[in-house]
Amino acid sequence: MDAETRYNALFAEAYPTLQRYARYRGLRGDDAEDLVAETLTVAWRRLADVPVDEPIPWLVAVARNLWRNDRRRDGRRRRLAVGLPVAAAALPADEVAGTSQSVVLRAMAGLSEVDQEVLRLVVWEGFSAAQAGVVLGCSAGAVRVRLHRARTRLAEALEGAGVVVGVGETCASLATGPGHENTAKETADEPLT
Amino acid sequence: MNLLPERDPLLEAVLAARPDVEPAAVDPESPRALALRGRITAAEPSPVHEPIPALARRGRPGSHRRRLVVAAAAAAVLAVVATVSGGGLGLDGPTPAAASIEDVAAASQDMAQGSGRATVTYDEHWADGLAVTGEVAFSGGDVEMTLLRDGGRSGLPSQPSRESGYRIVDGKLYERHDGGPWIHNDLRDDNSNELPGFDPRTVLEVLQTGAGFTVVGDEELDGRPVRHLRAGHPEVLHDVLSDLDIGVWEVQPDQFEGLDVWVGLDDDVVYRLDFDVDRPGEAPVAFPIEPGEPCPDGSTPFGDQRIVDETGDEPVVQDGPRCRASDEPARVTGTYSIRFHDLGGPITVTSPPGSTEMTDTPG
Repeated sequence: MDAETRYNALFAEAYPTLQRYARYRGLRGDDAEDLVAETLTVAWRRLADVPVDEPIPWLVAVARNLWRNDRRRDGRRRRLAVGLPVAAAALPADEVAGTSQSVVLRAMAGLSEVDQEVLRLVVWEGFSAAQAGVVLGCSAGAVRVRLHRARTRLAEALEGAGVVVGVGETCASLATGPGHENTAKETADEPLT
Repeated sequence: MNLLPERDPLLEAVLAARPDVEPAAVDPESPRALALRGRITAAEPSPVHEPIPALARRGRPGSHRRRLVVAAAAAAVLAVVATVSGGGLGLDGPTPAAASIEDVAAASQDMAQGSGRATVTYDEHWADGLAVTGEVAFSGGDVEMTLLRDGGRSGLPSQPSRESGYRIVDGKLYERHDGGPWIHNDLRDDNSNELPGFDPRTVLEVLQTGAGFTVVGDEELDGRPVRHLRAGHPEVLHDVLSDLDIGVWEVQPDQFEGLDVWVGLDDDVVYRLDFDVDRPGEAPVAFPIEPGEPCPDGSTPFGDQRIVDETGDEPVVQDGPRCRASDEPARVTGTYSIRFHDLGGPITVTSPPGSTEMTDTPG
């Protein structure tokens, strides 16, 4: 397989994940497109180093490094302008305050960057521990640790907001939005109890 | 393998809250995407060698050795409840109080939610050696630790003892060194006001797999009947410590040895944990000496600088000679031990008076 053929296949596979990653990071418009473009440019230039078996975590790790290096260069201005909360960046314009989705997003936005990232990678992107470890630069065991901590802190944050997600809650009772193909949509916009 | 447990309503709620991204933005066949792909491959006729963006390394405050000590204290406790997922590890032995390591983890987790104390000892052997003792008091989310570092087994006057204090009160971190002023440090990225790896109870949040505990035997610890367990895979400590973001990155998985825990037979709580480290150190090994004094082995002092204070972000260096302890690369061996005691007692951790808040904003 020649380089360009391989790259085109890699591009098609990675593009959706990288676009989502940029947006979950709170980037919008040109900023999101720039991050994706830079990452995919690196992929082209270092195609020989891109893992054949699991290229996506490797590329997300590159995107992560690019984003963080860019943030460090810009220093305080970047932190204030770009960083989170995800909730504010992700809520649709017609979001009704107090819906389950917004409650969870706001609780997530109050977590540390480390906690948010592991939740995004594992829960939103479905990465395994090993895959998330490639992105985060740590072992699979460490990812499990981080996920446990993030989950605990999120539960505490939701409890602080008066929301308790109890054992036995079904997806149907959680507010959902379009595109969540893995969740039941029988009941929408019911508050978490 | 799906990392998510089969039924976790909280994580399902997180998944349900995932923001939507417009389909056109993620379509690799969209005109925008195809244009991007074309620009990339056209700009470079074939892949060339470019450095892969790596995270710019930041200097970490504090001396390497101090952070290693802090790491050791927490690591010692962190490893205690390594568990095996799925079927768990059977603990052999007569009438086990804990049917599995998961029971130990659960019981110890319950203990950690309350109050108690812990004593940490750290005995490192290299050059003239290093011994650290730490006393920890915890109560809910608050924790206090005092570390006393004795840097000179040989008793050289150039190796003074050092004392460091840390407190977390209401989510704020305070620290001081050698009796200096308390400072509130909020310069830690990502986890402001959280000092990872310092609270020995953090181990109880860890549910690691693969430690492989087996029963050594039943013993008595401080008058309490306990079951002594030994891990077949102490290298799990490496994963746990790595996540703590503390300065033990040079300790590789195969350099952790002898992870042991002692579990109360009547309550399944971990009361003691030990582990050892055996790793190569820096070379050559040298230590500072007072001007005019000879080296203990009779050799001639060398150099004209010595480090007199490593507690800050940058070591303070003064003129002064050093003695070479060895021409060979050092071998660093260390034994770490932590003991929990006075569990459930009345403990209050208070914020120190008159602390100075450090920020990165001007004015």
